[in-house]
Amino acid sequence: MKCKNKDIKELLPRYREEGLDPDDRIRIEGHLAACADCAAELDLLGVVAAVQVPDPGEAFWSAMPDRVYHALQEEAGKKGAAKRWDLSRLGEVFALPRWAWATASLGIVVAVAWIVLYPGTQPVEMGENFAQLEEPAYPSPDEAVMAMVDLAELESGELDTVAGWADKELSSMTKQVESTVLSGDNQDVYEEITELDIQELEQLHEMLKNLKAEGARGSG
Amino acid sequence: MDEDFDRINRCEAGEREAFDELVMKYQKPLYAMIYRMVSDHEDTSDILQKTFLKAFTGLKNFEGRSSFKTWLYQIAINLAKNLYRDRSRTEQVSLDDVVIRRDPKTIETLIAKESSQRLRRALVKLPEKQRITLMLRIQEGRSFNEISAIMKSSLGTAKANYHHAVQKLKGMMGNQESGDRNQKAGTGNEMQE
Repeated sequence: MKCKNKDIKELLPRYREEGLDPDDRIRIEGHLAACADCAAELDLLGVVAAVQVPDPGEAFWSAMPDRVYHALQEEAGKKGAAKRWDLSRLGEVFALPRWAWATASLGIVVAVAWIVLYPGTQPVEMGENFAQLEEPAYPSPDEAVMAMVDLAELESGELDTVAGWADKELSSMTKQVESTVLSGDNQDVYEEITELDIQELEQLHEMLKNLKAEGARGSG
Repeated sequence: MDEDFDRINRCEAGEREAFDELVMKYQKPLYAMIYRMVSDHEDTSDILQKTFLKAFTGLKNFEGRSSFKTWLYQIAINLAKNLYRDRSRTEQVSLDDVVIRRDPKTIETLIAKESSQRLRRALVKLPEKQRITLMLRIQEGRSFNEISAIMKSSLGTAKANYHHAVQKLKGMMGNQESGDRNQKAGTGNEMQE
């Protein structure tokens, strides 16, 4: 017959473990003598408790701390590697060779210089610009276009160098033109002029106009 | 208990000795509990290592609301439950493989093994929470208060799970015994014919 005394049943494990005080122990033993259900349950608890767990041996126990410790280090290493991977990937981006950075920087400088120096100039519009220029100032259309292209490809530093050279050249040419114009000797002037680029020609043109104006004022 | 907190603090400070002490203190009871759940040394060994690994890597999350032991048990039970769910093992002892019929010691061993297998088969059929509660109470000798802390349940639930487990187990073991008796009787009849 099934026993419904939960108080007794609850104490059975401790009775089996011999963990009860004497009063409870006597109470349980009295109940067990009269209750087959609880006696059977106590037997069953004994069977369940007796399930053997094999001992893996001292070598296993003594190795466990090291085993866990190394597993922890490995785990920490994996996490560290994951972090390092991210950083190294980032580092790869910044660890490009110097020449690559130099090339990229140069490209940016050239692009910016192009935009600043020639904001509205497009290569395809060169022909139209050329057509609008004063014809007498250009020795030949092809040379003028080439000169524009050459100038357009120069960097700001190079343009400064060219400007410096042009000033120097023009100062000597100014003297030469002055002497030629004033003396009436025009030998090799045409050859000199054909070697000039657009800016030089424009400056020359200005200079000639000034000279002409000064001449007019002087004669006037 | 305070000793454990002291060891944990020393452990966090990088003291290897404290770490070893904690592992040495809890490895045996944890091994026994895990083994009772998974019934295999290799699996038990793996889960034991993972339990410590998880506990030590999560030491900063251990708030000390329960004891370190309870915390370890919770981790171990969860890991073992996962494995147990993956493969609920019911190892069968093949009598033909090992029987030397004339050796009475071997026969006794086999009977004990068979009895143990029958119990294991019955335990496997119990609902998970009931099975773990029974194991903790009877095989591990944990009090109901400890069980309720480990299982994160109320004291009443822990006691109820225990009672249900015992009743079901009693029923199943009785059925198996009567089933075995019937089977033996049937075999006897066949041999007579």
